Amino acid sequence: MNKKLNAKDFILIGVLTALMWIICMIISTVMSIAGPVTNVFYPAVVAIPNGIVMMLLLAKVPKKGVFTICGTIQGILFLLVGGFWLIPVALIVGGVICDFLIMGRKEITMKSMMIAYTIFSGIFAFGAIVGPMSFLQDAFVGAMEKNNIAQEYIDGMISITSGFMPVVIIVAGLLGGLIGGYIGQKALKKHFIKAGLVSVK
Amino acid sequence: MEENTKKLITQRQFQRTAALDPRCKVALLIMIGCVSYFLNGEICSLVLVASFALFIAVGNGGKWAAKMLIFYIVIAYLNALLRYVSIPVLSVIMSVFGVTILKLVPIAMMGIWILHTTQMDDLMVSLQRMRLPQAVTIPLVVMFRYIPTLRIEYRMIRNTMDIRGIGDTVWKQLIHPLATIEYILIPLLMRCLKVTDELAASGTTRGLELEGKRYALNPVRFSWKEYAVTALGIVFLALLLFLDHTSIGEIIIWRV
Repeated sequence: MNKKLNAKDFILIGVLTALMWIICMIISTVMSIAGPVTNVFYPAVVAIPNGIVMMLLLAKVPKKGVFTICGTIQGILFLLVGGFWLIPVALIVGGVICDFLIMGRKEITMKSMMIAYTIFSGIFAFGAIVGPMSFLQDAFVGAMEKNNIAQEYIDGMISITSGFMPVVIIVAGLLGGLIGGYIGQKALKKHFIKAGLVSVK
Repeated sequence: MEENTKKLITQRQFQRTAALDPRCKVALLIMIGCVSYFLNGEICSLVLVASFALFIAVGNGGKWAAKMLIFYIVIAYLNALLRYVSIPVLSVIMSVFGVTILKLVPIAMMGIWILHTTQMDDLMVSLQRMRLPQAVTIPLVVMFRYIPTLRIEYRMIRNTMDIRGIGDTVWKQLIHPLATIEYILIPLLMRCLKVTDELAASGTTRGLELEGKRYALNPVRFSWKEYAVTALGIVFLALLLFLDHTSIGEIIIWRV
């Protein structure tokens, strides 16, 4: 089997990453407006529809480097819309970890796809919520206060990210990845493998 | 024939600021993204939006800039109005919503303008001049090209769903979220696979895969103009950040 990525694979990664990023933007905007409690759990919710896309991508391009490229592109886009710098870093590091530690040299199977996606989503949850809120809380809160954001929202944001909540958020991210991967594989079997578009072990 | 083709390619569709190097535009966008969230004073944010609206208006985007500027002013005004109303949960949500939109307006304005005024070939060449590997350039270019198309695809799927009466009410979509995801996402993914095949065929015939150095008929380079614009942008944004911390940042302009 040819292990090197070619132009067609790059195009597929580009198209599907665009889709994943749009889904991510819509869900994160809606959930961060809805309130502090939903805001911190958005990576977990984003992971569910994105699981379907990611499973298709991995099944269609079973080669090494897919996670890294996908994470890098998403990171660049987050940078372009003014995201916090920890998000791109987390995405790229997560991609590299998933590609080289979890996928390793083995052939990509359904199981390893799911595990890798779960870890990826957990790292994204760390980079998007836990990192900024626990390391840079003062700056974050100061910016929010000056911007006339209601006091209740800020208090809710602080109380939900203190204590052992970061662990809960990361676990929620992992769980979201797991559910997303499971649904994704079901959808893959139901629609794509049956139609003969992809084949996975 | 060949002369005609050359003329068609080198014909400049965009003038003045729109004809700047894509790298320069993207650098400006990143800088705006960094600054926009840290500007707290109302007057500084307005100056940021207004000045970049002017920048865009010079380069084939007058209508778009005017639209976004009016939108910004209306939202800022409504946001100020909100201080005098207090409904328990709703006003918290609305204030967060208003601030998020105000912060996103300059970024969205600049980003969509860049999408409209940059030719993908130019972007590809300029990214390759930065010595980025193919693994980054091709997905990135495809992505910028594909994001506007996704909206059209989505609308088509919704139309088809309406015709067949699937998930046609908001209530149905809300009580079956997984079914909604499936009905929308799976056709979209099918389309993505199809589009990928077509794009790959079209790209391969035009030599997308070639690793060698590309030549461009349109001059793509970081000339003194780009350096000047980038430097001016940095100075301007730094000045705004500085002014924001002085007493100017505390002036309230959105009064009701």
